[in-house]
Amino acid sequence: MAKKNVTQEKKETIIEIKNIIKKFGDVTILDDVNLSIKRGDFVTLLGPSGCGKTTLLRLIAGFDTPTDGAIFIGGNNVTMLPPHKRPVNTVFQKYALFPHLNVFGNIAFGLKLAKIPDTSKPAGKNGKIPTRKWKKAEIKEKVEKALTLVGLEGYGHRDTNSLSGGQQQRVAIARAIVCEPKVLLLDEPLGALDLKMRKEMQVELMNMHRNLGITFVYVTHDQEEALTMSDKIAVMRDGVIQQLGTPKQIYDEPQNAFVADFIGESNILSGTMIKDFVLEFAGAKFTCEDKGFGKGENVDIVIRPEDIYIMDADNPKGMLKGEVVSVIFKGTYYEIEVKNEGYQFTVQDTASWDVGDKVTMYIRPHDIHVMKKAKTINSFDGVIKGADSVQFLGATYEIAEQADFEAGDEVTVKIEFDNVELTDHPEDAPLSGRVTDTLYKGKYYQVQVYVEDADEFFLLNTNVEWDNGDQVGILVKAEDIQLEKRTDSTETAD
Amino acid sequence: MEKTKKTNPTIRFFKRLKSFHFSRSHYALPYLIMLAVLVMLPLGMMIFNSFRHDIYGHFTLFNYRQFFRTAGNWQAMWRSLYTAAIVTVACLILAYPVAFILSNPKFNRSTTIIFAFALPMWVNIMLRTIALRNLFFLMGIDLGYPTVVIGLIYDFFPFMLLPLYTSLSSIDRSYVEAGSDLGAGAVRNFSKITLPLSVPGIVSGSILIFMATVSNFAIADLLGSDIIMFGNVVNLLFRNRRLTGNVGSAFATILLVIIVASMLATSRLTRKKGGGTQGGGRL
Repeated sequence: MAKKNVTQEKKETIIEIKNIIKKFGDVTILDDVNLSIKRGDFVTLLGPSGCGKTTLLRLIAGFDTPTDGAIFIGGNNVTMLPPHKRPVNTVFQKYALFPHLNVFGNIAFGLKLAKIPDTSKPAGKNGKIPTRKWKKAEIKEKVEKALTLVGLEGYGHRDTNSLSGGQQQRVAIARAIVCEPKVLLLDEPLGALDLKMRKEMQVELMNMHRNLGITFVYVTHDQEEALTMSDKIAVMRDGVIQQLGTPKQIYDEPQNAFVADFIGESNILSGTMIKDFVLEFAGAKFTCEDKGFGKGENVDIVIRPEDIYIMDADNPKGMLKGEVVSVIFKGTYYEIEVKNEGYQFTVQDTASWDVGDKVTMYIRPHDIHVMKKAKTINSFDGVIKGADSVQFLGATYEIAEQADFEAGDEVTVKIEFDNVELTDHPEDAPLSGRVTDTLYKGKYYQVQVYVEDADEFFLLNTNVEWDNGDQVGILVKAEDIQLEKRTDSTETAD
Repeated sequence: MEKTKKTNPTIRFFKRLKSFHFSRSHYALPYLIMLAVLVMLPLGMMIFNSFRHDIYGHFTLFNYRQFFRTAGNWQAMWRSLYTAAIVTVACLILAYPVAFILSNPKFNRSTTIIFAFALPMWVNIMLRTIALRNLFFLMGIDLGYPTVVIGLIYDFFPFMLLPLYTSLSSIDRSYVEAGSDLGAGAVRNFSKITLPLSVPGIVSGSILIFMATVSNFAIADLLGSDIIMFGNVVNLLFRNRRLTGNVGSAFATILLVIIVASMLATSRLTRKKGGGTQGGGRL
């Protein structure tokens, strides 16, 4: 009966998330998230830990309420509705199977509480549809059907503690789908399983999704899992959805350097657009299929390792000369590092080369992905403190003598990515923060530092490799701080 | 030529001493000795004496027969049992809501308040009881059965609160979330998840209080003018040790058998229910 409507309902939006903001104290976890999910889709929220994906899922489930914004499920505003009144069920990361109930009791839990329309009784006077509870025999039948679906026939009487991790996970899934929710939420459900088990469960979940026709919202940090299973992927970072698209779109046309780096391996470099369809990076000119950038605009360039072809050094098709610095056999291909004038490229090739070989590389125009830089300079609001100091982000930095400004002047502080230095000793610097992201750009690392007190990010380029989570001090030389007079926003608008 | 392998016995002893290592089971030795000397030995003596006649010293069941000879004995026994039951239930009813609120991080973020509730335990139980007695006098309340029950509840309340608190706060939040996710409102969530998962705390708290109350006589002495608990009966028999000490031993043994039997019954009951895998100070 429901099957017939599937194609018709497919286009309908089931979950609508509008301008969701979630803050815990002063920390912003979700920053103005918008997302709409179509009925029957398998949507994955993908991102590194701390990106807000689990928080978003918990908001949909109703375990938390958003600071601002609204959530609609099936057209109804459920923002303030408690979890037990929402037409969704959750598969928890650590299963959360009730230890005082056996497998049957766990799966039957939701059914025993459910109220269903009673067709045997006439409708009430005020149009109220009479409800009844599931009968014992019906519950038994449904539970057994769910157990069969997850491949655990005859496990009903078992104690949940006697089951393996994979079996517990199956029970958790059965417990959620037996209630026939409109949406099934899965919070990293395969995280605790070993690799082989995880691969098996991925296939089973995909089959289940196909057979049940329920919308799945799946949270994971595993990009491979997301690419395999999903109809759509929402890549998240720092509480913002970076890109929403099909796995192919996300992989082939990443919207920015972060998405490219997070989804699969890639070579990410900085380059310059010379004009439409022509750009320059790593000291050479290339044709590409991108246009619409400003002339001379700095851009991020992403090239997948499998899209670079290595050839003999004298091959006329070659674009970039280089030298092989390492070769690792990866089973079905070789991962080869090629160095070219300071830039290092990762290449996947089925042919092997020797370390030290002089080679040349070829890249097809449509394999060069050009992206706008999210940010090209650090820019903050600041106040002049005196002739030789400026205050921004709650810290005071020395500046070169400035005649143009007086103490108290409001200014915009600009600092180039290349002019920021990090130190291991946060106490030595006016400002300290935590490294939240590092990106290798062929020649240098682009590092993102989160300054907690000011809730702002600092970006910088460095030759030193920093680890995520490192506490660092931010140093800027006095002469590298550029100041611009800040005018009122009303004046700059025109 | 063969060397003789024989070594000096003294050297051998020291060699063996050198190779002796403390294994973990050795750490239990001090307590084992204490248990033997201060618990098992007196218990054995008590049971042994309970079968001996006080005056003639021969083996007999006379002491046990004494228990059933006077109605006052089993009346006092009955009074002790139902008083213990009342006190246990009252403590449970009083402590559960408190423990429930304190274990919820939404209402209570620090452990300071739980300390405050356990604070009376820091004062000696006799001092507390005497203070309570004076309080009763001050308020003009006559001592009697109600004051004994109030005193017992007051004195043993923390013994119920603490196991309940540990048990409730060890319940993973995700169980409650899973419950509401599957359609349980606040009331159902409590009755179907929180309550069953806190059973270990209820059981250990109840056993602690029941055992302490059923054999208590000092509080009844201080707070009840003429209330005779079974503990008072045994106490009186021991006061007159030379004439009735062995009768007292028999009576104490009877109480011991009842307590052990009821404990075994409850532990079997909870094991059948399947709960109890959650932490929470199970005895």
